[in-house]
Amino acid sequence: MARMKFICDAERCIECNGCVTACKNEHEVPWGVNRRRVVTINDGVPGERSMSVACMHCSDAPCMAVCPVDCFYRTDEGVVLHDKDLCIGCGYCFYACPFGAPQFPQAGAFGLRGKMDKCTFCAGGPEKNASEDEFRKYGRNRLAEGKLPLCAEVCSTKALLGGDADVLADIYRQRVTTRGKGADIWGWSTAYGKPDAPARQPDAGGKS
Amino acid sequence: MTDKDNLKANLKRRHFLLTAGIGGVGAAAAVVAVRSIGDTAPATGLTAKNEKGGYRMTEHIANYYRTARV
Repeated sequence: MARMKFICDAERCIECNGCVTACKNEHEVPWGVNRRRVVTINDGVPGERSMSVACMHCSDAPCMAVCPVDCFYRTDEGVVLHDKDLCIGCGYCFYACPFGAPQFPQAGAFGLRGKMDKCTFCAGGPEKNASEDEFRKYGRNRLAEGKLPLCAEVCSTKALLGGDADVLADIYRQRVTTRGKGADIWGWSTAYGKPDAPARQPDAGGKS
Repeated sequence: MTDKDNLKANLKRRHFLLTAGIGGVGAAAAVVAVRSIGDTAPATGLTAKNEKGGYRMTEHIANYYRTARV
């Protein structure tokens, strides 16, 4: 059985936020809730890195462990989903999640939390597939349509990968072994050298 | 025109009609075959909604994996 996973290639992410926009649009996510977001480390500094982050559908999910009403469940493909009819909006999952995936809409005044909302890997929820209820609560069920999460499918640089973990591991391994390191990552030898030329080594000595 | 020539012309016409008839039957058979393939296409999971709703390798997903290898 395939295990569904996301992986973001930080060397490729250009912080376009296309994944974020696609997710919000596809599932008609309410204002203030972001199932996916792009995090940038060392923003504006040479060597900055960006990553698209959402629920990582952990194999041993902390949200699942702490939920007092046990509203989480895992599908056969390893997608971590939850039942909004059971959720009481306590926020424990938010505190437990290392990725900040659980989101809570501001349902009203006095700091009331609504029911938790998070990335579903475009796999809907416990309701009948492609039903109106499923779409209203969890968004579109693309997995049932034979597709993958839209965020991964729209990624222009194919930085964000989603799907069968075995296939993704193969793709990522191939990238790591072929792109090398240093200037080769962003294509120095492709732009200025011959493809077969050895990678240019940086000068060993600094300024004297 | 002699009787022999007339006979040849008639035979040519008959051959044409015979060929057209066979062609028509062949085209109809091809259409039926294509339609029957179209009817079985959901078995690959491309168009039909999987009732269970799980992940399965479709042409759409295979195409995604192929483009991600770039």
